[in-house]
Amino acid sequence: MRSKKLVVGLLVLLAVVFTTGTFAYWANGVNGPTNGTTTGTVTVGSGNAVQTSFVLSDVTASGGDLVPATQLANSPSGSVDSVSVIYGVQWTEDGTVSQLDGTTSAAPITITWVITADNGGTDVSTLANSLISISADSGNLGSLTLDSAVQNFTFDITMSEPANQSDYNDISGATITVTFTYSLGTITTTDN
Amino acid sequence: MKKKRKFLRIAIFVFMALSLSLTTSQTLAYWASDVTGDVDTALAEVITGDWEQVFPYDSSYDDYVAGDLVSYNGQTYEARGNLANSFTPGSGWFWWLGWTRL
Repeated sequence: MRSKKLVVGLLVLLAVVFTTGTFAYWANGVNGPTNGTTTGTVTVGSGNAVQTSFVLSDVTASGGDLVPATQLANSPSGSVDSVSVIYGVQWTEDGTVSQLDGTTSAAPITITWVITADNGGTDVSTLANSLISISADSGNLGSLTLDSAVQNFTFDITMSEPANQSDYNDISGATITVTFTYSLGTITTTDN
Repeated sequence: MKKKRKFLRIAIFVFMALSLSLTTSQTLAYWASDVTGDVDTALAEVITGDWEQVFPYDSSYDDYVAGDLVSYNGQTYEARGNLANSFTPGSGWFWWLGWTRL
């Protein structure tokens, strides 16, 4: 009886073993998948453009009434043969948070001027342009550095003699207005 | 053993401090797409004075006023007033009505 149970148990065990065996391994190899690639794209953003400005300050404008140098002796006291105009120019970065810390930006500065003149409501600009001369001081800088100290730019204004009485009447006592335009060339920024 | 540990702590602290300073300087890198310049204008005003200048006499100019000075034939003349426009200085009978020889 006991051996009968043993036989049954063995048969059950065999059945289990063989049944499991039907799921046996039947392959001569397992190939891996072909190599696959995925592409991740990251777009790098860009910094905002940095805006900069000039800070101009009129330091001094020397002299009295401008007359030709050759006629200074024939002019009332207080007349001058040259008027110097000095402007303080500073180039600064706009905004409170600097994007340019750790860098140095420099650019050539160009200064141009336009002369207009008025005498008692009459436009005498053409005549003034032929008589008035403006020269930039040789000490003026040719380039500026961003956020550096104020730089002074000096200009000397002189005039030559009018050719005749009519021109004299037009130019004497006239108000000469000189518009100086400050602009920058190509800005170069380098890492410190 | 205690001394060794203390020394190690100080060494690590110094190393971290130095590393921080290096990292800090790197975080201040340039980050701007462009640096835009500026254009600005400034005005200067100059008043011209007056002076006494002798111009060559011009017969076509008819706006001489008292005090105007001209040179003509090597002489200098001063206009007396508007009549100066009617006479050539130093010429004819009545030029002196308009001019004074200086």
